[in-house]
Order: sequence, then structure tokens, then C-alpha cells
Amino acid sequence: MTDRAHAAELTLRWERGRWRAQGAGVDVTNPDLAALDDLIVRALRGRGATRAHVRFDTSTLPMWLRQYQAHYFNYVLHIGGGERP
Amino acid sequence: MTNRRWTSGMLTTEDWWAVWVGLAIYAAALTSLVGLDLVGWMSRPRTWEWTNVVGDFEWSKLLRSTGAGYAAWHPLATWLVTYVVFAGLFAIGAYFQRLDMRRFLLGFTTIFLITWACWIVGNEMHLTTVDAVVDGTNAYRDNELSWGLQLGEGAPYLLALLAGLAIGNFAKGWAAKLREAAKPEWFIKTAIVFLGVNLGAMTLEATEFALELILTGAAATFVAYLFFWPLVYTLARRAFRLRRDASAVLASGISICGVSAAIATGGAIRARPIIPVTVSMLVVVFAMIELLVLPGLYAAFFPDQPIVNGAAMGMTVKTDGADAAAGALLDELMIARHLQETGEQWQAGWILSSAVLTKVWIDVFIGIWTFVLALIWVYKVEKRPGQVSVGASEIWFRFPKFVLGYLIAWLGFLAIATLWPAHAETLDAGTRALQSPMRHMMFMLTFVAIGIITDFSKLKGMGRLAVLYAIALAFVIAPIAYVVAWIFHRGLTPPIA
Repeated sequence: MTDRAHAAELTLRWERGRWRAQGAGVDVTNPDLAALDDLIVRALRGRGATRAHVRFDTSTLPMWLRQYQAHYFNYVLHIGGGERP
Repeated sequence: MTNRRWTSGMLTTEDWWAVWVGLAIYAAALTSLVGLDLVGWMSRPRTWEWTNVVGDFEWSKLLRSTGAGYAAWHPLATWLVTYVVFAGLFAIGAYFQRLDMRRFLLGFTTIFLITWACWIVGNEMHLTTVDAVVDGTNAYRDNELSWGLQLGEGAPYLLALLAGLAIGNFAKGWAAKLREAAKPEWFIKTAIVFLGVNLGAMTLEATEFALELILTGAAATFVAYLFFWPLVYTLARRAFRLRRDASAVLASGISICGVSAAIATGGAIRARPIIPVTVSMLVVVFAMIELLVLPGLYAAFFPDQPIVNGAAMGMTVKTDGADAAAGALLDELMIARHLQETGEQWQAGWILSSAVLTKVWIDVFIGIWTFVLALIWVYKVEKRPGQVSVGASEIWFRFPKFVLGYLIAWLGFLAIATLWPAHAETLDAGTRALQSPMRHMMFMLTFVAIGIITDFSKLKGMGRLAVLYAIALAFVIAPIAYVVAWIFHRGLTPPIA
């Protein structure tokens, strides 16, 4: 299995006051992003994924705002990195 | 809509579409090198005097084409082609951005009509003409004007801004309908691509001055930001007791480049989107206040420091649209005042360029700064090394792409003119439509659009944040920006026209 095969792809949204991550068979929500990361790690652990590429869906930002900046953030979550203390 | 590859957004963001629209027109203008004129149809308003026009009306007294090859066309025909070309290009962009096409076209057409109405009215002699000899004639005296505001090209800009603001604040239902097409950032970024052509032509004429402006602009920006961000962040944390994430987003919004910095910083520190959204609403309104106040203030109090004023404007006024608009207004007001007082006419565009160049440096800087901030946040604030990492690709995703169009236009012009000097004059003449009427029209569209999207009533309920913004702007950003600009640019004046 290549290294790329160990990476899960998730889309992150901000919906009704909560973060929501979807993709790779995962659908989790939490108002706190660090807690959401823990949920993603738990969900993906044991599925062979070593990391998750989490990408924010900019279409959830207000339309008028997108003309100023078309990117919010992406990050990589390392599944083997342990849970947040 | 997520950013996955370096090519993400090339067809779906306004930033990229400013590049495509600007370069498409630029490419059409470059055909002048093989003897064609594909942009000379561009319409432009004439300076007119109302008794002369009312008494004997003719469209040719108000409008004319830019290129000599189109001089025989009816003025309304060139105006219509101007509308069709620009509406068409922006509609293609709107289609790929998945905007509501019907609303966009209706909105764009309305904004276009308002823009041209302001542009034509604003060119009436009592508003624009300065009492001074230009090219051997004094139009003010020759036309026997009994009074005049003598605002130069600043008059149409002010009219456009007031028209936009009137709609945005007193006809909110109408403003909401126009919002789909009221895209000041898209319009101004396209204008900045055109401005790259101007800078190319200006660099050829005054190479040393242009290089000095560019280098000192970079240095001034760097020095200013060593002070801005930490001071505003400390003010927000200590004096206003704001949370760490809100303070960081607000510090970037106030001190770096407004809305784009607020969103980029919010993303870098993985803040809830509501924080940059709230700060952005504040930035948009304050940017308008800065645009209304600063050009007149600088022109009135520091009339002998044009480049200092432009650079200070670039560091003080947030959002690209408001900054470039303020720079354009300052350019016109200062040239008119200098001409009125000394009879000497500065070359147009240099003061605006100093404002825009400073802002471009700031925009480029934001990607790097937020990447550093993201690392600080993950490793030092959230203390999550090993669990979360941030890719260097974030710098590219946050890089303002219109800057690429600006650089291509500028360096492309310089490259052609220096590699084939025999064609330099043809190139300058062939791109004149971009350098003047097209750029001016994009600025005019920006002025109207920025007014439409600015609703001053949004300051209600912002309380503490608005107070912090006002204090930071008045006592930190504006004074430091001016001192830094003065240190680096004092004594610089544009070449004489």
C-alpha cells in the first residue's frame, strides 16, 4: 500500500455553530475544533489511515466575503499522533 | 468548494478572474504590435460645459472613442461596444464562479449605467477644470467659467462614491438586488492588472524613480508591520480583554490588509468563521470611512509630500478596493491642487502607484505571515505538535493571484519595450486604452460597487470592537504609517507631465 493510500480526505464545514467533518466514511460534529479532531482520529484509527487531510469548504463562508479571500484553511491530522491531552 | 491542488480556484474565484479579464484585454491590446487596434473602441467621456451642451446637444460633446481608427464611429456605438465587451467578459467569469447569471447581468448593467452617468456628469468643467495653463491653454479662462470646484478627475470618483453610498445606505432593497454584481475587489483587481501596464510605461520613462518607489515601498511596509500587528494585538488583549483568537484576527484585519488578512488569520489559527466574518464587516465600513476622509485630509495638510501620502494611504486604508480607490482619488486631488497652486502638472498615476505598490507588498506578505502564525498557533498556543501540521501550500492558497496579473502586465510591457525598442512607442500607443479609460472605468465601477456594499448601520452593535478599531486606526496605524512613509519617501515627487 502506498503512503498516499494511508491518507484520508475530509471536508470541514461550519454549520449552525458547530464544526462538521465528512469524508472517508466519517461524519462527525463538535463545536470545538480540537475535540472534533479527536473524534476524527478515533473514527479513523484502525482503518489503516495514518493521517487525514482536512480541507475547509469555503462555500460555507458568506458569499460577499469570498471576493476578499478564497481560502480559509487546510491542515493535516496525524492519526498516530495520540489524542489531545 | 475546497482548495486541494495549486490550480484550485483558477476558474472559480474572482481573484483569478481579475487576472483572466485583465490579461485578455492586454493580449488584445498587444495586437497593436502587428498593426491592429482591437481596443480602440473603448469609449471615454469628454470634458464638457453645460450651457454649451444644453443649448446644442450632441453625444459627441460627451463621449468619444479612444483609438483614431474608431473616430468615425457614433459615440453611442463605441459606448455600446464598451458595455458589451466588459459585460461579456465579466459574465463569463460570473458563470464559472456559479453566480446567479440573471441577477449578475441585471446588477452589472445597472452599476455600469450609474458608473457612466457619474463619469459623464463628473467631467463637467465646473467640477473638473483647474484654473491653470495646461499644454499652453487655460481651459478655465478660455471657457469663461465664473466658478469651479477644480477637482480634476477626482470629481467623477467622488460622484460615483456618493451614488454608491446613497444606494447602499438609503435604498437597501435595491442594494441587495445589485449585490450579486457589486464586486469592488474583482473590479479593482482588474484595474490593478491594467495599472501594471501603466507602471511598465512609467518605469520606461523614469526607471530610477520607479525602482526607488518599489524598493522603499517594500522596506516601508516591512518596517510598519513590525509595529502594527504587535501593538494592535496587545491593545486588544490588554486594554479590551478580547480573547486570543479574536485579538489575532482583529490585529491582522486592522493592521495588515483588512478583510483578506482577517480571513487568512482566522484560517491560520483555525478560528470559528464567525470571528473573521464579524471583523470583516467592521473592516469594510471603516475602510469606507478611511476612503472618505484620508485623501482630502492628506491633500489639504501635506500638499508637498505626494509620494509619502500615497504610501501612507497604502499602509493605512484596508481592503484593496478602498486603498486603490483612495489612492486614485488622492492622485487626482493632489495633481489638481498642485497645478492650481504652482501651475506645474505632475504626471498622473505615480501617487496612485505608490499607494497600490505598498498594498501589493502587504498582500504578498499576508500569506507568509499567516503561515508563520499558523505554526506558532499549532506549536505554541494549542500545543499540538505531532497531531496537527500545516502545509506550506497554505502560502500559495492565500497568495493574492491578481498580483501575478499585475507583474505579468508590468514586466511584459518592460520586456517588449526593452528587447524591441523600435516597438516601444507602438506598444505605448496600443495599450493607451488600458492605461487610461479602461483603468479609469474599472476604478469608477469600484467606487460605485464599494458604496453599494457599504452599510454604515452595520456599526450598530459592534460596540467594543468598533471603539478598538477606531482607537487603533487613529493612534497606531495612521500615525505610524505616515511617519514610516515619510522616512522612506520624503521629498519624492512625481515627474512633471
